[in-house]
Amino acid sequence: MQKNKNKTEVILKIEDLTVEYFSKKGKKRAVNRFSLTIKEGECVGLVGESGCGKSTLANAIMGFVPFSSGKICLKGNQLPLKKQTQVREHYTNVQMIFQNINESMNLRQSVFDYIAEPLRNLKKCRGNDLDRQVGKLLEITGLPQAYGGRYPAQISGGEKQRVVIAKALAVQPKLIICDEPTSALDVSVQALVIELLRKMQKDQQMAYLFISHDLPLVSYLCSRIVVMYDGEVVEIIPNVDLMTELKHPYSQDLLEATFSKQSDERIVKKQIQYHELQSNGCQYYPYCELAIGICNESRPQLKKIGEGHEIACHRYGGKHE
Amino acid sequence: MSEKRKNVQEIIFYGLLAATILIAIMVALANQIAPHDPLAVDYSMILQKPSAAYPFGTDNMGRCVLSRVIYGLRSSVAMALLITLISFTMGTFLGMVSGYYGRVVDTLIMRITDTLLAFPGLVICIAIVGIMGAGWKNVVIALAISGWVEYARVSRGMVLSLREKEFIKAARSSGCGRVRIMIVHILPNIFQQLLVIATFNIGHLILTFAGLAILGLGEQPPAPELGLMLSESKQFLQLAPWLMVYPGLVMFLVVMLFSLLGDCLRDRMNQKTSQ
Repeated sequence: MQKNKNKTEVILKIEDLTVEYFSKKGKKRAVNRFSLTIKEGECVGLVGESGCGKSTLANAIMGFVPFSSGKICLKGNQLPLKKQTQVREHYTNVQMIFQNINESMNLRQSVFDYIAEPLRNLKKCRGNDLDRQVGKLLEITGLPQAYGGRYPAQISGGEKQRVVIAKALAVQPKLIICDEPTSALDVSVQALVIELLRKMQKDQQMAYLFISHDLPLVSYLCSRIVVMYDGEVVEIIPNVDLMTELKHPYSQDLLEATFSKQSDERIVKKQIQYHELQSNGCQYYPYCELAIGICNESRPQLKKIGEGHEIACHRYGGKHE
Repeated sequence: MSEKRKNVQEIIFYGLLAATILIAIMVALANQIAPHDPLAVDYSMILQKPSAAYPFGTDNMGRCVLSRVIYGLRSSVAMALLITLISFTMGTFLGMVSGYYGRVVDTLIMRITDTLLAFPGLVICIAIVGIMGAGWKNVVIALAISGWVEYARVSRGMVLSLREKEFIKAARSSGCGRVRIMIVHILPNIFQQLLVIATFNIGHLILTFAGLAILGLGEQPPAPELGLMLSESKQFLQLAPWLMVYPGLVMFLVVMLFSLLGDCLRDRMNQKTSQ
């Protein structure tokens, strides 16, 4: 899983991406100056709490939400997509597995038609060839062939998620964005789905952008981990083995949160207040237990503190260490 | 819900469906079923009580009330279906376009519906029929113009909530264009709800059509029309109550049938989605 050294081709390049939402209260920056590069066959985990802009980022990459500045470039295809041919090419390169299993399928479309749709539209696949390909996808995802004729109401949540995965795999994309694919499933089914995703990645050398708030899960599946807070990258580690090396106070909170109930509650409390804050300093300043004077005055930039390990914190990688 | 109650509901639903089909057959075969010509005047048989030859009696010109009721029902039902078809298609199409495309298109269509909603339906009808002249064609045009608004409003609302769902995103990422998303992914998901509204509306339209005839704006005498029959029978109410009772009763039953059918359809739909 970790054979992504330097030579492989870059699939996704995001530079200084900013996505803003407009509401009556004014502008809300969901994603702020976000940069990320994903190489072929690489598995990147994106972690952060709810509302930090993870899903918005995924939607921006898929071309579902417009962005105000920055660049998204996928296999040489620059967003926003303009021509229909460009749109088709984009979606043969990237597919998404959605969070809400009960909403990700059309209730009036059979499993077969659902899986066949991208093949029909993007690959112009028809007739016997189509039947064969859909059959193969059902087999890969471990679903019985008879399921092709079923409707979403007739299958279970875990099966639905496998159908969604089958659809995402149909056009053999270079990159799959998984937006918390297991959060709506119970634990035993989660394991099955994760195993399936892992197998797919090994067999077909696809790249994943795996979005989650569950650090242990991400560490199981991904090599590189990006920690996001309030629309910005706060820390990147190149390797899951360095997970204990996570240094940013927020990353540490996140790490702790998976083990102790107490800090979990603390994070919940933070979450409640955090939209109301506007400052020039570090976004995490009001909650940071290790904050120093400068944290409230200037925003920290991403700095390298080790091989591939980057962090945006005044306490590391600079004069304030 | 208990098994028994569910079964009862099923029986009621199929009963209503059977009754609807029966009426459809009856009005379609009006020529064969009606015992007399609805327009044939026979002055020797004026205001006869219901009898074997004239099951619903005769009116002040000796015409068979049963035959007139059957023919009248035919024109009412046909008219209601035609208007529903036109306003359903038009309203659903405009509502879907409005909800899915949003922005200028949405504003434009919604302001038109607002304008139409600002008038009571009957006022629009009277205005249009008043300008274009009485007669069933103009009534159809008038009722279709005010009728599509409801379908447009409802379908727009449903499209607005559907378009944010993940399966629409999934369809987009499958390379579906806007037209395909609307036809394959949105329409089947809103069709049933709209069908329920249509069923309710058929009953309502039959009443409106009769109302317009009473006002002298719909069908003109001597055409057999339920509303017209009611209005003509006013002066004979004490002398020959059957002139009013039978057309009124038939209209009441048919309108109720469509309302109940609409209710049943809605219940069945709720059951299916909540399973």
